Amino acid sequence: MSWAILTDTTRCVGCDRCVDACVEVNRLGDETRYPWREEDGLSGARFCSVLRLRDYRYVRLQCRHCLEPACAAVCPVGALEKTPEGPVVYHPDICMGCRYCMMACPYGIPRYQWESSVPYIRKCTMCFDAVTRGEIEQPACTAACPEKATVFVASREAALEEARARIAARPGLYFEDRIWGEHEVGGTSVLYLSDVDLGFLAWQRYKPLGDEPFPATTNRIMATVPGTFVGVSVLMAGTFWVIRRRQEVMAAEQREQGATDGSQPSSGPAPKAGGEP
Amino acid sequence: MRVRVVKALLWGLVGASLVALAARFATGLGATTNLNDVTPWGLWIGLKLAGVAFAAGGFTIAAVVYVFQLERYHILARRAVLIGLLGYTFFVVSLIVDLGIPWNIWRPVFFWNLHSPLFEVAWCVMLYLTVLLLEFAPVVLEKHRTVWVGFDLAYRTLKWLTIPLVVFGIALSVLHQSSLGTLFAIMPHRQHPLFYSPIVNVLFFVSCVAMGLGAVIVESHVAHFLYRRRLSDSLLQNLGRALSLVVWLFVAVRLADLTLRGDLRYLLEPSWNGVLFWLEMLPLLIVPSVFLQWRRVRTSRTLLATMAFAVVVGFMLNRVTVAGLAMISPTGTNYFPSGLELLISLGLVPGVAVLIWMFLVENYEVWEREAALDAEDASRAPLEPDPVSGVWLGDSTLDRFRQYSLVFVLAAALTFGLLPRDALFGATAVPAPVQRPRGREVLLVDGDRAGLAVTFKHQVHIDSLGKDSSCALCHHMVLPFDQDTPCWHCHRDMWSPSDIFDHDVHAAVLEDAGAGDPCAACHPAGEGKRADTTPLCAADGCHVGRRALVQTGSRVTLEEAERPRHAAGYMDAMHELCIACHRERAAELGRPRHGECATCHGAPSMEGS
Repeated sequence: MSWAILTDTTRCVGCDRCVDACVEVNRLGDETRYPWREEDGLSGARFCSVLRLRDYRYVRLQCRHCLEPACAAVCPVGALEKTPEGPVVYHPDICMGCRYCMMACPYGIPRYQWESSVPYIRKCTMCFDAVTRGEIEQPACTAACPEKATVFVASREAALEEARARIAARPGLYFEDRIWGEHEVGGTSVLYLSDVDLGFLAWQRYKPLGDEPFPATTNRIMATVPGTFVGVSVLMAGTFWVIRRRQEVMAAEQREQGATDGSQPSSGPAPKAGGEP
Repeated sequence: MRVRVVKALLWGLVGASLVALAARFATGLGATTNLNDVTPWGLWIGLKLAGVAFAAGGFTIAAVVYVFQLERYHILARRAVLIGLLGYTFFVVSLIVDLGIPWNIWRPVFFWNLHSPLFEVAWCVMLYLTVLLLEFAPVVLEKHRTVWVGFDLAYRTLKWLTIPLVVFGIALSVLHQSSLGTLFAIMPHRQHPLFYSPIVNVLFFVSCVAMGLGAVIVESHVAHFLYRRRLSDSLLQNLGRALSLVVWLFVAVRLADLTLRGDLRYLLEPSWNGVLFWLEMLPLLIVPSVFLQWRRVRTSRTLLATMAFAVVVGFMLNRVTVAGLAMISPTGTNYFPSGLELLISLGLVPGVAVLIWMFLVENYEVWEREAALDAEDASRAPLEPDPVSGVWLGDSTLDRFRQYSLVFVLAAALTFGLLPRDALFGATAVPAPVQRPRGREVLLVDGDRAGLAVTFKHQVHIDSLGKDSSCALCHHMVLPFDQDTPCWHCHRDMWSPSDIFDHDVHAAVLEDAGAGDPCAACHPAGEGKRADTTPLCAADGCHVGRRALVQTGSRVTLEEAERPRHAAGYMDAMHELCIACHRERAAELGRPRHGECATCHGAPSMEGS
């Protein structure tokens, strides 16, 4: 059972109430606009935003809480964590500020407090702390939506069912009858229904994101690490030993030959271990 | 003389970059760099990757000398290990500069994420740096071993441990150099297909071996240039040949990978990425490696150095591309490194690193068993005192220190003077341009104070009523007391475009209810179909307490209006929001026009209708 949020852009009226609620619950305060602030409205002080598209269409932007999040997979210290309930949460007390999560996220969600000399990563946590403490029953954004355009569902399966039901009820309305986030990058906890193509929300100018979870590639490589380490060590030690042994044998033969021929051993006696300079 | 000029330049760079560094830590990354949310890794990461590949000379030559026991190369061992040591030290130093919370750099020791390539990099760097220190320590200890018996003991122990250390170091390097590539295996979305590869770890490893070999050749020539060291020509020629073979291997793996993934078509694209690819591959990698196979090229010192340098630059470009340049078109970033980023990079790596290198090679036997070409460094030749003043010009060590510190202080002062304002006082916010007054795009309007609100599409109303000149239509209606604007002023005809009332549905529902003529339910016969003759929706028991009647898709929300039931009249709302504050500020600033509507709004829109 993992939490999910279903956002239906055909219902969204762009009132920004989700953003206000998010700011209030997460105590984000007023936003100062710095030169590096992105057009999409997310920043170190905003976890969600409402994108304005053409023709009064609005898309609410927030962390997708991937089922296999790239950000959590790459964090070297595990400051980002995929909770069993579904949200991907952040532990600022562990973070060392490498910003690898920002590089790995296919949707460009984690943002940084660039203005601070003690900066932290900032991103939506589905109000995980407040909900688990029982202060609120569901994330602030979904609770605030007057149009039920973005709804909180306690299980992802139920959210998918609801989405399918909506598609079935209004054939032809939704773009390719597609549930955005059902399969992409292994599936996400935040699902979108839309009457327009939402592909622009991820960086996929050259290739589509695909359905394989992002961490799969690195995991495949990381799995070879112990083997490589042992393999290289053994190979190197073995090579050293073999060459050493051959040199010793050669030196011995030469000495023998020298003894029988009565001539001096030729150049290149076996070097001492460690190659004394 | 060469040494002194180079040192003075480097001290100047270090002075300048230390000021830049201080600013970076004092005011943060945003104020001093051009990094941003789309490009959180910038120039520093690219250079770090390039520099650490340079350091691969350490393990490559160590393998040749100690594992394969090619004794001839032994004279290169110490210098290679020193390159490695400096490369890795400055990898860590620049990491400290780059990290947002650098005092947490030790965290990977206790907090583990075995899936993270960066975690592996962190561990390998920690361990390999230790190994390199232990490998290089004998060079320092050997000079001081007579001072204290402990030094001697440490020296012997380390000598005895050489082989295990070398083997451990090689294994760590193989892992670490390749996992630096793995960092980018998770970024297919950020990199152009020409530069993304799921086997980028293999490419990084192969290229680091080439970089390491190239680094030793380049370093030998730099040492030759600065200190007139004898060049071990035959060894360097062999390294040059090996270098070209490794470059071929790299090119082969790279092209095979591109072919297998079917991305060869991008090669012919006349784009930024295609150009980058060809620039890196042809003049910087393939051409030099072909030339290096040619004996005549290898035996010419100038050509050998040039070719090795080209290959090193080629792989540095490759690293910088993978870490940044290849991300420009996929992410559309506008990142370009700031002056301070450049200055810090230059000051740390050519600056501090080369100065440490010069200190070590001057004071310790890094170039063992090699005789200087000239017994005396040219700069150490005794100088005549100036014939006019009788002053000695800079021969003594003290004099040199004085010159270096002068350059250092001047450069630091100059940089401080030229620091941008943000770097001194922290990032400044972008001033928000004054906009025409603009309401939210969607309002919740409870027009009849009944506790039920409709979503009022503000922007739609603005657009359909005449854009900029429309404000006054609602907000300044010339009505007694100019209070607010009941929707029915416009929506009195239920057939008008409006999504608050679906006429057909109402007619259908009433017909189904069997109330006879559905029109008559709302429009009493003979009284005309006008707003003032029609009952309100909540009257006559229709919508009172029978919310189920509200159809799905209707814009009548079922929630209690969350705003105060008695919203301020539009005029009051507007005037209290803007005018009160503006008048206050106008008085404070002593600028009366600040408080006048026309100052911001432009008169026409306020006087319309």
